[in-house]
Amino acid sequence: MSAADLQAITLTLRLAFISTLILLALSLPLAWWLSQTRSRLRVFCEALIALPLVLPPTVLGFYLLLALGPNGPIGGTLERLGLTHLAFSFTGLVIGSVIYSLPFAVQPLQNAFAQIDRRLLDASACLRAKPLDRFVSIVLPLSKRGFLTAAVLSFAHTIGEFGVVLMIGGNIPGETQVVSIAIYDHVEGLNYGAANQLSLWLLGFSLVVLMLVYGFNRQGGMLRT
Amino acid sequence: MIKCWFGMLLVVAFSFNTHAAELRIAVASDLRFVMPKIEQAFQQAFADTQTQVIYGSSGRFFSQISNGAPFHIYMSADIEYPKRLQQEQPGTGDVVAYGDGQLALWQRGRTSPDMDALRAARRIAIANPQHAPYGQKALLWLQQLPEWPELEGKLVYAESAAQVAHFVRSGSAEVGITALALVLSEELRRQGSYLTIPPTDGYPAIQQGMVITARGAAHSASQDFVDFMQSEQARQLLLDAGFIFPDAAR
Repeated sequence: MSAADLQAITLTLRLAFISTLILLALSLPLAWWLSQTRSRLRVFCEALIALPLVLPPTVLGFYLLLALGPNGPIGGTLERLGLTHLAFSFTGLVIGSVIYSLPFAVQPLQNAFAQIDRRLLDASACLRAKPLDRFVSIVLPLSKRGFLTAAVLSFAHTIGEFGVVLMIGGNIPGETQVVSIAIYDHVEGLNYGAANQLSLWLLGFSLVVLMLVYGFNRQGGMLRT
Repeated sequence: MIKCWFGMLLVVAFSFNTHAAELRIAVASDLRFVMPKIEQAFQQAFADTQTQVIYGSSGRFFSQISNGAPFHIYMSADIEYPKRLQQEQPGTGDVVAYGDGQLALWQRGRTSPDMDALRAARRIAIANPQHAPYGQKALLWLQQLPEWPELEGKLVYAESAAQVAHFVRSGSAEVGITALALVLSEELRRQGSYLTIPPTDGYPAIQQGMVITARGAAHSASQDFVDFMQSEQARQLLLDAGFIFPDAAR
């Protein structure tokens, strides 16, 4: 495997790790609020978060390109503050991935939170457990699977990301050239051998990760019963 | 955890620095097979200049550079894009034509395709005329043929000139019309045979153009590269790769 391919792999893993961490941190309060609130805003927020499921990634990428670039609302503001805009940078990719994978992190967590028996929370409240204590001692352990699913789906979804990165990344080796883009580049360059090799690596890696997770999940299930 | 984050930020920051000195060139995909040779020759001529070439579609590069992509030089397969960039983005350099591309018929196997092959084909692949320069010109060429009415229904559209080759190579289309520069590559020469369609055969020249972007104006090597692209050495490499220079012949 060439040095450029290895660089693409490490870059992809770094992107997936960072995006997953940010997604989990962001989704935790968001999913909890969505699972508990009776606000009318809920429907709107749920729809907004689910949008990346429906929108073609290239459309999402195009809007992000306009927003993060030097003429867009976000990139433009940064430029005026004397900073550089975010399109075609690793930071821009992280932002894109977080938005693109948001439903994959929020929905499993929200489902896990919604399934928690209210009576447990009420009982612990009667035993004078404070809200934070209730959340840490009851909600979090009971939604362990939700967390795992959210983490794995966000991670996997980021690794497989293509359309968004194609638009906002710019295919720059070492900075924004992720594995999926490198494969596309090899195919466009009629270099089928290299494309095959990298694709096989991606296939093997994804399979192993998913098997580890399902194995772990099953084990956890058996321990619980 | 915070340490780890900080470390990652540092890595990101440093990777920016190491690339800052390289001359970053956005190159249309049809140059993919000649560009490494040009790069090598350029680096020999200008010993201390590192280049980083990124291939892609001319149209996508246009919208990316309009939105601040960090490319110093933009080599498009259609000179209209750099011209538009020059109009729309202050600081962009002068547009330089660096050669004309040519079309080619391409099919699998050892026999070169001819007009009979085109008529006999059930599917003919061309790049999407909406945004691919070679697709646009392929369509214009087809439309002026007397056979056009019977060929029209056979067209399938690929995303790029390279994808035309994928379609034909996989057998999904019997004949493809794509860039001569692509079918002259070693990889495709092993797979199939071609017939050159020169612009004198009834389509407007695929004039290619390059430009130093607003960002590239500050890079010391930008002008060197643009000059080098017009040198005899670079022209010879382009000629070998299937490009032509009508202005020189006139």
